[in-house]
Amino acid sequence: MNPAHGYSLEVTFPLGKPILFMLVASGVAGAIAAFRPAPSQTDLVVWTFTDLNARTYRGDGSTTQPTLVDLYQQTAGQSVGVKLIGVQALNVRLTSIFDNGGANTEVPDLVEIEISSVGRFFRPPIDQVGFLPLNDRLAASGWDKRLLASRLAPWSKQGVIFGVPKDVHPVSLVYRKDLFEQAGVDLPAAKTWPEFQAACLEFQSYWLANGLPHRRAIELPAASADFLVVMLLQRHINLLDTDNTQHLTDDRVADTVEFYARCVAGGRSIGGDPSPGANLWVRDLTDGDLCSIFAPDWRTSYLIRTAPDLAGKLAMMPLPRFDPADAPTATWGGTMMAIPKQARDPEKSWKLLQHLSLSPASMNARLQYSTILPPVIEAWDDPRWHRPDAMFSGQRIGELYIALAKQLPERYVTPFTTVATQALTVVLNRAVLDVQAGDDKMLPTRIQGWLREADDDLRKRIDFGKFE
Amino acid sequence: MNRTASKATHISWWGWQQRLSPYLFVAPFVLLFAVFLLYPLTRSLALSVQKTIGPRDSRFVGAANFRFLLKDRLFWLAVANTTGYALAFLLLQIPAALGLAILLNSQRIKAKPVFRFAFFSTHLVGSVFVAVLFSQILSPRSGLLNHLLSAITRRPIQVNWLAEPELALPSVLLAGLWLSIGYAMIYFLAALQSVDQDLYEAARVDGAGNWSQFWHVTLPGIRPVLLFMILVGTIGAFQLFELPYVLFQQSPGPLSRALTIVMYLFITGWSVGDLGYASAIGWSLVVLIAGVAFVQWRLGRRGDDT
Repeated sequence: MNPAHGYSLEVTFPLGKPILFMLVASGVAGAIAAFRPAPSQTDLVVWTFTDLNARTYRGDGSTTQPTLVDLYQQTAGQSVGVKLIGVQALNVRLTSIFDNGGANTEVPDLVEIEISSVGRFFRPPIDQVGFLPLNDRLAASGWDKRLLASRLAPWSKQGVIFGVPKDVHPVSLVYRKDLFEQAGVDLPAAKTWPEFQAACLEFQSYWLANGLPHRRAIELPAASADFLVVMLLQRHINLLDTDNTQHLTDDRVADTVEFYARCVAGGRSIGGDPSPGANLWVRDLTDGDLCSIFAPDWRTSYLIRTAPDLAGKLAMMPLPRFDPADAPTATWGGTMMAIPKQARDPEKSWKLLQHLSLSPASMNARLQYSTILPPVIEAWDDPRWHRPDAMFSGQRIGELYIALAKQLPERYVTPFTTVATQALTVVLNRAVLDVQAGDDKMLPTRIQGWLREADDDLRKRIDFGKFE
Repeated sequence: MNRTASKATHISWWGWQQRLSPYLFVAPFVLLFAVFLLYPLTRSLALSVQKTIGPRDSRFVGAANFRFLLKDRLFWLAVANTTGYALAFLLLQIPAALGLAILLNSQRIKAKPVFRFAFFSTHLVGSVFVAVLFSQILSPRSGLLNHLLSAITRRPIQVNWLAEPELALPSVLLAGLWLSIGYAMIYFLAALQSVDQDLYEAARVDGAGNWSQFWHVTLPGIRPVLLFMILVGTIGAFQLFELPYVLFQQSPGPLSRALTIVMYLFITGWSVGDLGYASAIGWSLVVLIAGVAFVQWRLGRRGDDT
């Protein structure tokens, strides 16, 4: 230890100071990790990706009433942990569980999956899908009759149901009643899409003459096919059926693409793009830049919470149709609750699933946090779905959503749905460019050609990607 | 005796430490590299020649994934988009960053640290934030860019930057440049400050003007950094993902003009769930980047030889 000694510094630790430092640092880090309060272990674990659902299950402290999780502990004697996980992280972790069989990792007893993510989980053959088939349980419990049948379609593969729907998400049309009335346009009188387009052109002409040339009648993005897909669903067209049967070359697809393109470009354009960014369509509607929107219940719920300035200025109507056989609605978005095959005790998972998603208590809890219509038909009798809404000038929007839900067309999701939608988007983009350029005399024929091209390409991808 | 024994023990410790220390120092890196890079790379290479069937089954398909890739028009569209972006990015980023660095290296500029930080700070926020920011700047109605153009032209302009196919990649490019020019500038600034000032003095004595000094003194002086920045920029541009993914709200943009190779890989792996094909796309990207880097290296060496 004598500073004069040649080895005075090294002898403090045989391996030297840097390694001593590293060991001390890792020791401290290890101690912190080892002695940090362990997350409380619960008997059952639920993974969700939406804050809304997490709050519905475990409450947000705003009421003193027992939460759904508390109620389950009281009645079933089992504690429930609700984990809020980002949608991508949830998908990756779940894929990892399915791939490694759930070894050495936490497997949720229940998991929620968003509709745009579910296709990839349906890629394996039926017997290898990572979720537990629920047909027998739904039949035995009678829930198959009590749930809206059309809403089981997205969560099924070739008739096997892998998840219980959390929602219905019927799409209505919400519009600025005050601005349309000011323009002297009776929008609900438009029962077909062409009539709707004519009414919107009249509306825009009024505002053009009154110094607002950029005021658009409806939110219709020129470059995205989201609402085009809604229109096709209205016509009972899924781009891909549950067995990957393709429908891109259906004549009605070409008609709808042409109609949509002429709604967002050219002389009869009525649509405008929403401001980019999460939920900025609310600002567009509030500012009167876009005066009507496609409104599934999740959008309306958000609108009611965030745009009090619009109280009394809005009204809701069913979607116009193309043909009498079309539905006055379609579905947009959705979530299912499923049981991973590796769940510790599927019976307990099933019991919890019913408690969190289907029970009267769950129907009550979800109404505290949102106005999203449940897929449980008997829950629609609750008086809260039938009362007038001040935001919509006293209109009973719950009743309208229920009426639309009863006419909901089926929607299917496969691993190739995203690819098919992207192919449709490119066809739409090309059609819009033609209309913008005024080069649209042969547009119907050209659209059919593009759709055939897209259909061929999609067929090759499906043939290459499938293994059943 | 005890003292001698103690000294002997100490020396043996010292010898042991000398032998073992290097391995202990590199051990954490080697361990992390093996677990988080080497294993996934090997696994993805194996996946690229497999078709994954269900959660735990897979089938060897040889080069089938790569054969399909060669005929996949979406892949080639992604390659064309990415290459176009990479070229435009390098052609704009390198001169702009070098120009800014030369400007900040000038004696005439005051408050250099402030400018240096201001230009570099864009890099601190990350590409997702920049994408969100630019989605607002490029918004058709309330976007800053349209307001600016309206003010300049004195007529209302509502360009839908993110919906026009021709403007899709330029929009990404704009965001990419905003994000990265300051970062490249810092490197160039450091390189400029290391160029021997005597060389400028000698060039001036020989009658060299500003342009001659730049061409014959500055550029050769910063050449290693310049080549490094071109290489890093190329690799970064070919790995483009977050900017277009967020800017176009998880879509490949109008006419798929913002579809990049990594975005296609992501969609294939995580939307379709085909990890084998996604791995094949990933390895094709590796080959592409390696090829471009090799060409750059050869060109750089040729420059050294001359």
